Amino acid sequence: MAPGTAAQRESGRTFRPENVDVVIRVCVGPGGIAAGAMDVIAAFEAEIERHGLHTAVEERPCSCGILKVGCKGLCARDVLVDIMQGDHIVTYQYVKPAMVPTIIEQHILGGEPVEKWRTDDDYDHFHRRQEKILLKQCGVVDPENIGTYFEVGGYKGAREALLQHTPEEVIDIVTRSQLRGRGGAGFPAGVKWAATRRARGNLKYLICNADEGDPGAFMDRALLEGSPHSVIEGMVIAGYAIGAVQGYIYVRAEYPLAVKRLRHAFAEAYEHGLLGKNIFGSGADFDLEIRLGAGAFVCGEATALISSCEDRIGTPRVKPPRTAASGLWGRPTNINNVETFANVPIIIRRGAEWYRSIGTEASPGTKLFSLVGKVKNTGLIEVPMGMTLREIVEEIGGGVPDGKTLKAVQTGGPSGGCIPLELMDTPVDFEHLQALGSIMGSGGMVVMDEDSCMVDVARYFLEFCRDESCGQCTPCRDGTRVMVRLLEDICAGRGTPEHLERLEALGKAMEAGSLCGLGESAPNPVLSTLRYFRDEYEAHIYEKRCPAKVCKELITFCIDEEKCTGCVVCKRACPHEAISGEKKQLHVIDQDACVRCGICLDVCRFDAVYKE
Amino acid sequence: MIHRLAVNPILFYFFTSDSNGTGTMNDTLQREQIEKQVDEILSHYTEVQGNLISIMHEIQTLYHYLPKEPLRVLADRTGFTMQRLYSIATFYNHFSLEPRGKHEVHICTGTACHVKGAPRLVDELERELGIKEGQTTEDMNFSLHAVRCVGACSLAPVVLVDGITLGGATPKSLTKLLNKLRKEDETEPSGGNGNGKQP
Ligand SMILES: Cc1cc2nc3c(=O)[nH]c(=O)nc-3n(C[C@H](O)[C@H](O)[C@H](O)COP(=O)(O)O)c2cc1C
Ligand code: FES
Repeated sequence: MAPGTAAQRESGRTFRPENVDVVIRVCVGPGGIAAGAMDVIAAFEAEIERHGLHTAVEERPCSCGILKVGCKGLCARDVLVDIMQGDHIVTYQYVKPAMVPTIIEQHILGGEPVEKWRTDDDYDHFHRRQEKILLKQCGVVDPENIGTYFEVGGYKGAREALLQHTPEEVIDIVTRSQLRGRGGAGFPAGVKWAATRRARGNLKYLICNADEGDPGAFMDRALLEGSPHSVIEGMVIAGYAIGAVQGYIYVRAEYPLAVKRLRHAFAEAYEHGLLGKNIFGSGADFDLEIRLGAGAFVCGEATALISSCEDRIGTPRVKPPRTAASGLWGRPTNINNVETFANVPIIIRRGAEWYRSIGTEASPGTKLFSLVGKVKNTGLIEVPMGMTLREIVEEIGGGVPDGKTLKAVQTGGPSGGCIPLELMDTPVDFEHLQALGSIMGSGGMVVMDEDSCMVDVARYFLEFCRDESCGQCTPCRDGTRVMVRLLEDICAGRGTPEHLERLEALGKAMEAGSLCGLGESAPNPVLSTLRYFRDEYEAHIYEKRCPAKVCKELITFCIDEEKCTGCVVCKRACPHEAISGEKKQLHVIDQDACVRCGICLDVCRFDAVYKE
Repeated sequence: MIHRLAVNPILFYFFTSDSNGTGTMNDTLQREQIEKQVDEILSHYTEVQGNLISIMHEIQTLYHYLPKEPLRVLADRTGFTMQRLYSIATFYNHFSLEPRGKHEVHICTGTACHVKGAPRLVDELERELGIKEGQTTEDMNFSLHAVRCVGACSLAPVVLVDGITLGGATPKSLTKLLNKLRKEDETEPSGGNGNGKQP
């Protein structure tokens, strides 16, 4: 924990939180950075410099330090900044660099928090129902400073596992905890580890799946960027348990910051003897390296990922043999998801029984979800398994904004399905979601309101699977193509009842005949929307009407005679010169020239433009 | 993905100028320089096996796409066949065999962004730049690519411009940003290439 390691010196001025009077905690998670956290930090640094707040002096006994922390959850309010004086914490939301001087002068120096910029009740509601076990560290640990991870008990789990337990005992604890894989399928982690341990061969590999391909999901990113050491620690324990001395983290190319922070964390871990040879003097060795993806969704599938790690294109293969018997370079290989690994150190430290007391009987523990889409409090949440969708969307998420009504929640990404409003009281765990024709998936939860057309959503996911199919097997490669075409027909008003029959038949054939999970589950979004939103499909087919007014071919934009003031704003804004009308006269849209881009609707200040 | 191998641009790439003096990367001097650059990249790795994709990432970062010459040098140095390198370059969406614009605009069409209006932003950007998604403007200033989720879903709809995330994007904010970039380029014609910048 030596302060001032090379790694720390690199990350700027170091301080220990107990040595300063005020800790300024800034979120540098995915949301924070996108909202400008780096500029906010620069502003704080400049102000601290200006006021000489690095160290306390007699006439002003107050010193400040900035702590960069991972995702604090409520990304919708980023940049979030905590001002901590001892145990007293004041949190500001939507912080911009321009607000920083006031915060420093009025709050830190003047002792008066700036009320109007503080978080409100929503922030409390957002956190009240959550149970943060994995994310607890994210908001307090500096991802680029291993010392802050030690302070929250970091690497104690690994020490305990390697020094006090045999590999078999570690596997036994994880098996008894009933930890299930968080990458989608929910396979019991302990069982998989035991199989890899039993497999013949003295060279075994451990891989962490950080491909996170599901669109609308960023839990793994938040963990890797917010608390990289918890994943590394989990892997050290797993490597010891299964007998692997080499591990890899396969990170998607879209996450350059995660790669950077991981590399930094590797260096710190090596420096402290937490990776490498003879870890904790236990005699166990473990090395870690990064493998990069390059933008292919299918590489999240275990065998495709291995193929990609072997310098090839990411094509899945038929199983068996399971990867536990023959994986990377033909050796026994254990693959788990980022979140699965992050659970392991806590289970070791607090015990299997404690872990099983959280969540449900069959799905213990907590689950991270990225709660996004048409919901007020978008962000990253952690809840015990078994909480209902309604609780998640309404209590934590604060419901749908702008007075709209909730229509469906999409879970499980392109392999998942849409769960309708009527079923919002379903508990969220592996079994219940599957029974509804969706899946837990990795944890993306996209909320949709009345403005989302379910046929359009189904088409969207099928297009995704069509583009991401590796092209090896016919049911997936051609099935997705035909399905997209059928759905396009329906969206364009060319659908017939036969289209629905064909979609259903094709879906069943793809489920039965595809080589890997991508093709098998690709029909899910269609089948689940057909099951719960058949009336929307029928409206498109029989009435040539899109109830959500999304499908361009089935809507027209019109101008309300009563409301139009003839202000010419829409006329000027229309990129296609489809609007005519003189100043102070009623404007008219030429339907032949209109491409239904919706710009007129956006710019009209009198609500005179409407969709039909 | 692999079935896209059959499309023409790749064949075109395969058979076009190599040593006929029309390409941009073909005199010996350049060959030497490219060899040096590729060797430098290779020196970051203790072994090539298992790192091919990372190496190709570095090459793409250096040239902003995967030109044929460095790939050829890579093949010579590592023993991988050109066929293997092309299979990777065409399978993975991240790699490009064609030059990309000075400014890379990536628009997220992931689920969260889709329900928050990404399709409209794509239309808008296509119109504003006068190109289709996947293309580069003639003056090589901008290229436009749709990507599936950049992991900033809570700020949807999201657009990445030169690697910098723009959350809650609207047609207006995008037009403003593009104009700003255009203006910067005008005042500073040799302006730094923002590609590959990390957020
Ligand atoms: C098409 C497809 C994509 C997948 N993508 C991911 C992914 O992005 N991340 C992940 O952890 N697992 C993904 N999986 C699941 C993996 O195959 C594998 O089950 C998982 O990584 C095992 O880890 P776990 O047992 O810890 O869940 C995907 C599976 C399929 C079929
Ligand atoms: S869906 Fe656009 S960033 Fe995730």
